[in-house]
Amino acid sequence: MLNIPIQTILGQLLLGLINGAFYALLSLGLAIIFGLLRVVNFAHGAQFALGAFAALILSRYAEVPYWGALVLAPVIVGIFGVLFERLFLRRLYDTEPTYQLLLTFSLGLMTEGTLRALFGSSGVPYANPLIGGINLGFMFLPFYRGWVVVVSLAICVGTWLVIEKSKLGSYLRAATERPDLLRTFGINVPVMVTLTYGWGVGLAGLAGVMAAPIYQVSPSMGSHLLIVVFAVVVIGGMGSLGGAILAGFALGVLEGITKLVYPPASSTVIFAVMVAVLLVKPAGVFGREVV
Amino acid sequence: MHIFALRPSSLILLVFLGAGLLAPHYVYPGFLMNLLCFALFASAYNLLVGYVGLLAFGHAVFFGGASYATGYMLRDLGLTPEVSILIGVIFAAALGLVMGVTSIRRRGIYFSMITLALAQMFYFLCAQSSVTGGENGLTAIPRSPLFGIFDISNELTLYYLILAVVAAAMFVIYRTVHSPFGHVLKGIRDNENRMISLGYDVDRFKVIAFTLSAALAGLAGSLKAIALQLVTLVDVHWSTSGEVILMALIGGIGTAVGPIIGAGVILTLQNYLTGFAEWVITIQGAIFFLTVLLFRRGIAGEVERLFRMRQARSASSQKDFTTSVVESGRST
Amino acid sequence: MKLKRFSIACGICVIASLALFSTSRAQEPFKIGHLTDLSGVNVDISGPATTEAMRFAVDDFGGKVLGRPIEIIAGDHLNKPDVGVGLARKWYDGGVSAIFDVGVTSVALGIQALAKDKNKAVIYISTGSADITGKNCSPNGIHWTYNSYADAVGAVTEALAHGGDTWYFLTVDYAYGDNLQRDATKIIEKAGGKVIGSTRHPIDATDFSSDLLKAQSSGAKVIGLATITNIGTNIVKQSEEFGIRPNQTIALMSVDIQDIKALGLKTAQGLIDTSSYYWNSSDESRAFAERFKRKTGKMPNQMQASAYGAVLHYLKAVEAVGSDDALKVIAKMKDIPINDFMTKNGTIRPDGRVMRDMLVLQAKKPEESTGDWDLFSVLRTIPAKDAFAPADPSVCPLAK
Repeated sequence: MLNIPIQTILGQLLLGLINGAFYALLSLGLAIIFGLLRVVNFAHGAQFALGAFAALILSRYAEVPYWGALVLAPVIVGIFGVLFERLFLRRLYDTEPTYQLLLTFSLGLMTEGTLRALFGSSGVPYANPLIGGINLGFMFLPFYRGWVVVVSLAICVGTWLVIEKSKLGSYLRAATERPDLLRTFGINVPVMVTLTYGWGVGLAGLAGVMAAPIYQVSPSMGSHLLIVVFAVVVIGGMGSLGGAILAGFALGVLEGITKLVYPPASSTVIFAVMVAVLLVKPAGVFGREVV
Repeated sequence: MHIFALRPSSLILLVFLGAGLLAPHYVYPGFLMNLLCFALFASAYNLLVGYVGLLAFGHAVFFGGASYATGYMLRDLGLTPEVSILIGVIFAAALGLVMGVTSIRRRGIYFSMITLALAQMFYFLCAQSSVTGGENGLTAIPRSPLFGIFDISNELTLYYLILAVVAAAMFVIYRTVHSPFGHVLKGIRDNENRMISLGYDVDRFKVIAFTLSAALAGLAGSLKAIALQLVTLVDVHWSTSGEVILMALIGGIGTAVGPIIGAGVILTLQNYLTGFAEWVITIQGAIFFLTVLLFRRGIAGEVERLFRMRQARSASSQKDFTTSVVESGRST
Repeated sequence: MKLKRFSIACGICVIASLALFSTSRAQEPFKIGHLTDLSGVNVDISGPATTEAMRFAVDDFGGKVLGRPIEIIAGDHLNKPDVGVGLARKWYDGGVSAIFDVGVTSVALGIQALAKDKNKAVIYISTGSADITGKNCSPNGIHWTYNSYADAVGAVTEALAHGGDTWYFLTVDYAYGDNLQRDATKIIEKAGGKVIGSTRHPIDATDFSSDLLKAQSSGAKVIGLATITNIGTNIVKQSEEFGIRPNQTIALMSVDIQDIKALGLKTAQGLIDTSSYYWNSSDESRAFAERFKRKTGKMPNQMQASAYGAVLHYLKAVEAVGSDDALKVIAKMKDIPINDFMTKNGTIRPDGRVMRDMLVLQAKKPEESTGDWDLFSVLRTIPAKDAFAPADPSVCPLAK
């Protein structure tokens, strides 16, 4: 490990950051949903895949290019999310959280199963809209990867600002901490809840579109990511948006470092970190323990 | 009052036992053996989630871990089944103790996640180890004679042996739930702070319950290793942990027979939906979806609720069992 | 009381099963099973379309064997060994004479042991593991279509033939990956090439940019992907961003026609696939493909196409032996040469390996392709003796 050249280390750190950008987007969506709805959204992985397939369907049948899909696909996925929340999830808010979890899990199963029945299991091609790259000296950075980091950072920071600085955000935060209290102030919590779910799901869809040009688009593309992203949210502290974002990027970097030391462990290291974090900080790095 | 509360579920368990004795006439015994193992697995899990209110997300560790241990003892060390099963159960209990001690102080979702994380690490060890055979799994596990003399290679003989063991284990679970120890557990589930102020060492009770649940899940895994003669990484994968949660939920959390029904439903879906080809997964998802929306308490839970409602009309106020599960979920 | 009920129930069961066995089975259908992933992540590798190809074989055979109508039962193992082996056990106990296809190694190895136990036949089509005819070989099993060695040999030899004498491997952290890398290394070193490095990735990895950069900076002429197909295609897609090709060659060691289609020719062009079948390689294979496409809407891959011959050959052997006794039937299958629309004078080794010639295919450039399924040009044929590793008597006692 000691004889690893500095260029390699820098390269790994940068690549880790890029992967972290995906984790951050996905975990931000999960954290928002959990924060306001107290729902562990098990459909997140499938909604990520749905985003990629929405982009694909848009390009195949409506000839919408990547840049259009970047806006449209998350909206489509978000609308699916809103419908699901309004029609079904809503009915379960008065029950145990496990039932909501099971409902989102079933939704994920149906989504993945349907995509596979329609498109097969091996996946479908989706072209890269930003070919080429730039030599940074220590590594070759493809333009598209740079773009992913920029978009992810912008969306994450934007979402964070809205929630931390705006009036809407203050309601959201209030609702995160005391949803019952907010209702008594006459704020239309149900609409807010619906839109929040839609936004969180839309973020998963956005991550899916962004993944489409570089990862093989297949129905199961999100299933591996799902529990990793859960771990990211928990490490950041459930309900803490800043925590989810930071943990997302940090975990990407940590994976990168693990790939230098012992690559086979790169997808397990996050869980070791999670155990360690939870033993020291019971509610994650940035979370407060609300039992 | 307890006598009243016990009677229906113990009666139903006996009916199930009777059905188990007759079942091989109508259903393929190999399927039934698998069913019994998963029914025990789900019941062991239910002991934790239904009666202590702990939503663990790593029970595949005990199921698969014991499976590997038993398989290895039988195949590679040539031990007899009863010794191999015992070792498997002890192994699972030890793993349960470690996981319980590590995770039990955390509450709610953090407890679930820490169990998931430990399970992922255990999975990684299993995938790396040469003892488990990696992705190929342990195959050709022999059905050696029980105690070195009784032949169990025949499907029917083995079925009745497993039925007897599972019935005994179910009895242990049943006795535990209805013992003073079990009442303490339910007290913890319903109101942990009250139990602490009453002077109970809550964490110790939880760890004991966790270890017991792990040991029983291990027993299920050990039996499965013999019934199926095969152990693979799927048995320790998080999807198996998820599956057992699904079984408990579909059947009815906190009911005696719910997990058995849940295991039956899920295994039947897995084995008998073949005709729908590519749409199997979608249909599975839709069935779960509707179950949660329409029969939230699970099959046994809904039946029990109807039964209770009728009883409540005649008898005076009796605490709704299933409602208390829901309440416990709220309070965590 | 329990014991009494127990013994009564046991008694009833014994009587019932005796009664079942004594009924005449002459007019019962002759059952063969198709067990594979019909709905999950591997459905494109074989799936329900393979059942159709098996039906073609039964139809062409006349629908009857030993005077009994032939029935195909299809089952989905969901990639779960529990379900797969459980189903196989039920089928074998319920009178199914042979199981075809299977797929996933852990399920296949479970059934390999089971078939021997029950003296039934099993014929692997979409299973890749060479252990089937190696340390897990059995007189009851035949490995029909390909294996992981044959899958890789075309890509490896083709890269070597074009001057690719230094190699870097991206290997999946599984026994499968190790074996693949080991086999490829032997071929490379025999040809005077050298392996200058490798890196391993976990099976659930999704991003390979780090692995690709290591391979890129190693300066190796060829990057060998000793990994499962889904990961391999993902790596190929990501290699595009980093401009790996054309400076370095990528040898994708497990790939089939549906994966090339999934990648798209723009990305996949130039990749080598070793396959026992390509729909457009001869008049006969085109004729089968058209028939298949009419029924399923797509062109067959090598698994789906070869299932036809597997069933036909099995039925011929059953007819010749006059019973479904697995050991005798399998022995007969090894006796008679295999001839069907895609296999010419194929043989079966004592260890159960079907020896067949393999085609080396190259993915076309997008501008060369004239249709949705016009994906490959056929480069050459590898004779059977070079397409498969020699039988190894030190691990498989049958291979003497």
